[in-house]
Amino acid sequence: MIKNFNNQKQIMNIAEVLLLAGMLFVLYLIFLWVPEDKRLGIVQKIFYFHLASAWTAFLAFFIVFVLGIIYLINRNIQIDLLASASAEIGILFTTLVLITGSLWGRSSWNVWWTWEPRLTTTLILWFIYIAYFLIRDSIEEPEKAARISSVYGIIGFIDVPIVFMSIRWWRSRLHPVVFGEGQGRSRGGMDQDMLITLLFSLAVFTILFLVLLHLSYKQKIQAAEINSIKQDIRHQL
Amino acid sequence: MNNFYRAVITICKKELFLEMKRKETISTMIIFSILTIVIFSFSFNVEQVEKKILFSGMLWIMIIFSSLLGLGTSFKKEQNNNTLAGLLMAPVDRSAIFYGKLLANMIFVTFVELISIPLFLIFFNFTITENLLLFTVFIFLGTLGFISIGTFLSALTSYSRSSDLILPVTLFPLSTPLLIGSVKLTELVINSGGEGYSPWIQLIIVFDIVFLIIPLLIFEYILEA
Amino acid sequence: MIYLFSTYSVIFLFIFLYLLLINKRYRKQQKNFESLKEMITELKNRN
Repeated sequence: MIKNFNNQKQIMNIAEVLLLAGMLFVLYLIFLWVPEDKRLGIVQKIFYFHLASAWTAFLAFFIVFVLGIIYLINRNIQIDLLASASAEIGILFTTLVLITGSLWGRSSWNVWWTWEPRLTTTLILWFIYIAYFLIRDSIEEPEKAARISSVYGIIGFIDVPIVFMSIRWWRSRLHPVVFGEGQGRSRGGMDQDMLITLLFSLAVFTILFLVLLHLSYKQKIQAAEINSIKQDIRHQL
Repeated sequence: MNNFYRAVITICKKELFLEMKRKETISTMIIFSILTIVIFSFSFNVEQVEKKILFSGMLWIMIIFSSLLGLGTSFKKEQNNNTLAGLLMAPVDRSAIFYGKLLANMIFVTFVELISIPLFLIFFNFTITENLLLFTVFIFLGTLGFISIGTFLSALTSYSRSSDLILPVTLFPLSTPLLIGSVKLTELVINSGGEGYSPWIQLIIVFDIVFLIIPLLIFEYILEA
Repeated sequence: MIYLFSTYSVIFLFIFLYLLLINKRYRKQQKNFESLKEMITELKNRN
């Protein structure tokens, strides 16, 4: 057990060093190395971390979904704690996507908010997972809370693609897509240097996610332990 | 299968019987629907605004908010005398409980709609003569989706301390596709006689099917003794 | 330019705040843990 823990610690140390180096390298790539976008100018550089945040958020919620299924099968409470840590980080990055998306919108379309499909879906996503914690925290017994939030995590994730499709149709009906979203532009127009920078930022954000996940998980495990000790004492009295 | 079907009917009957005795839920839902109509007429100045623009949105807000009243108590009332334990002891698949409740809720809400939608039309001087069948079908499909996910979430949130608060917070974001689709369909029926509705009807049917089938697979995990 | 820099500072700020939050919870638990330990030894002495 202790040996295992040491191993884990070593891996985490390596991950943290990797994260720090990677982050600095990516910042170098973004601010000094990669060329400016010809049409959008320097503001386009928001894009790298914006997309990376979105990727991390989706990854986090996907993990909540998978861990929800695993929990319902094997009923290991640690799996559920990991899922809740992942959901928390997912909310963090969804918030970042919303804020950076808003700044992007302000700088390139001169509005703080547009009801653009992806931005709107992200907002709905944010509400869905805020509700995940509202349900979770309002159920007293940890075992019950784990079960219910696993079910909710599964349902919530299944709902996301339907939400995205519906909002996409909803917007495109009202007026044709103006902002060059979607097909054709995102891949076709992308310069190779930009693609490399983007891929690096995705990788760094994935490591960042894992490091945060580990920290948050450790904290939640400890909280669960303290709770069970408290219950023991209550029984003793 | 036959057994399952009978269990669904029995649970639905039990709900209907309970409601016939108490008459609480349905009467509150109807009164609430009329109240929303009154509030709309105060807040939107319906006399002057082009009614066609607001109509379908207002209609669906009325339907959704009044259904929410019924959904909230659907599973919570089983906890008062711990009657849920009794239901769980029945030797049938757990999802039968879900489908029974779903059927009962669907009957309640349809009943309320039969009263509230005509009243809505009368109060706002609105007539739908053509496409009445299409209008009814769209309302039905939208309601079905909303009630199925609503019943599911009603069971899900019934364990929580403050389920009345949490049900709407979970239900609204998850049912966005349904709301968008239903409002669009109703709008299309009123304005253009229902042309161009096929993507929306697909959307709603997909949503209905997804949330009618998923409970079959995972409902048993919600209700565990 | 302002938007670009505010984007990156917001991202780092939020991640930093999240780390602070975890740390705060951790500290709180540590304190909680200490007091629980004391309680346990007290209980043992009483028995």
